[in-house]
Amino acid sequence: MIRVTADLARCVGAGQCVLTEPAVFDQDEEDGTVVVLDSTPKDEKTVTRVRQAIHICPGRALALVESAAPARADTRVDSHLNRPAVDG
Amino acid sequence: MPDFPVLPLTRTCPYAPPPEHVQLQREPVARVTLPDGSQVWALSRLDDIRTMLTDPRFSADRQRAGFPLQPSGPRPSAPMRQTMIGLDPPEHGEARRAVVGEFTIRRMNALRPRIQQIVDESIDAMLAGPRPADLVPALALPVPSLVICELLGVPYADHDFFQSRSAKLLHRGVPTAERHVAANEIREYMAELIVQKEKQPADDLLGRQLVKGADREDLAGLGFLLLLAGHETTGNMISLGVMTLLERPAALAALREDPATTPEVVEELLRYFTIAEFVTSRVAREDVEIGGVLIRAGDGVLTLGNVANRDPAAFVDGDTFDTGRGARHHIAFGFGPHQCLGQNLARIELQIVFDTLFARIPDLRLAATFDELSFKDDSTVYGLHSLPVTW
Ligand code: HEM
Ligand code: SF4
Repeated sequence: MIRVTADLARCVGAGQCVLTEPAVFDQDEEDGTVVVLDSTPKDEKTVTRVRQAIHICPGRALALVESAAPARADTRVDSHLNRPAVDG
Repeated sequence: MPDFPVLPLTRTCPYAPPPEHVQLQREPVARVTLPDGSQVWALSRLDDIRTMLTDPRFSADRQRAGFPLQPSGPRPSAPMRQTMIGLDPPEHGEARRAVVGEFTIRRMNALRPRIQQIVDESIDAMLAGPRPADLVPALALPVPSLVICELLGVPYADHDFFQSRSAKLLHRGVPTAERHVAANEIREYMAELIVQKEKQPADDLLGRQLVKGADREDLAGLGFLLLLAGHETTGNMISLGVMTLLERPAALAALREDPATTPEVVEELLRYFTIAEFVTSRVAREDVEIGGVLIRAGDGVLTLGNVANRDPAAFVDGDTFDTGRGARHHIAFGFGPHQCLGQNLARIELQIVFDTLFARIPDLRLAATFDELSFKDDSTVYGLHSLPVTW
């Protein structure tokens, strides 16, 4: 299963993801960080736009991971230099 | 061993990066000499710049030794604390996190009716005035300045004061001493505004920050930063955008026909001009390898964003202005943790200005030949000094 993850520690609240795919991404009212509305999008077009959002996210906070086990979206920690798995 | 070309910063054609920058594509991490004699690295590949701007070993501290192109514009005479644009982690994240909620897409969309009103009133005033008109003071500068008033909660009665001082601050025809006076007046005004909002709680950006316990001086600095970062930049994109569309009747006709395409036009204009490429300069805090080249601690790094936004590895036929491109991976707003805080406000302002202006004045045209136009070749942010138009 494909799952959208967001690392809130890296999100800089620029909202590029929301501009790209508002059905999957939203922003927290208080601190502007990303809120994943739908972490398992199935529609092909939506997934393409999620990949685009991952590519343009200035905080490199987003990723798509293949996994069977559900995990909390906000626990993923990357080293600051690592690119998300599906960048570009 | 890289050679050391002197690097002109000026564009010979407004629609293209300087030829010297284009040549640097052959040497994407190059040692270059700036007009002030200092040597820095110049990056021209999109991927390298994105990597550099997300690497915390590069500092955005504009006062740090080695930072390229130290800003020389008028600043208030009293020392100001660093604002977020010059902070590094962890202070940067704290400062940005404190206000980023004010700039969410939802918040910015809520400003649309007020921005529309500001744009309409500026166009009313222009139409009531003589022809030809200069679009820069008539529309391009007042719109973003009044929008920042709105954002900060500057009372209506003070708009003229605020607007005239910020116009002075930006006008290179105004003597430097006078521009310093204007900078100080804005700073004092900002401090006074904050005192007033402390007395009388207000539901605006400054008011809400005060409720959250923000420090007064930091808040005055933030107000000043928003004005500096959001006024001239947006104004330049308005005038460059109007010029570009007037010069391209097919693109203009398409925009008029279907306003739903305006966001794409705006995005392509941002990419095509990349007016603030020198704002994303950095200085290395440690030795770092970028694109296979070792950059030493203390070395300055320049980002040739305009070339990078035409990088053949990232954009098909990047020298062509193509409003149908749908490319959002440009770095006109920078990249990494400092990526423009006001980008979604700027996008909305530009969309409303273009949609409204060309709908309300269908026969708008340039009142000068292209060769007569005066571009900001000497400025760190590219734009037009004036744009004569008639109708
Ligand atoms: C078309 C117009 C604009 C352009 C091209 C632009 C460009 C940029 C760029 C390239 C940066 C990155 C600086 C860096 O990496 O060091 C930046 C940062 C910033 N911009 Fe904009 N900007 C525009 C409009 C605005 C507006 C309207 C505002 C606010 C009202 C604004 C506020 C800021 C702030 C506060 C920062 C610093 C963010 C940080 O350091 O985290 N900008 N802008
Ligand atoms: S694009 Fe990235 S940094 Fe911006 S809000 Fe979305 S997740 Fe956060």
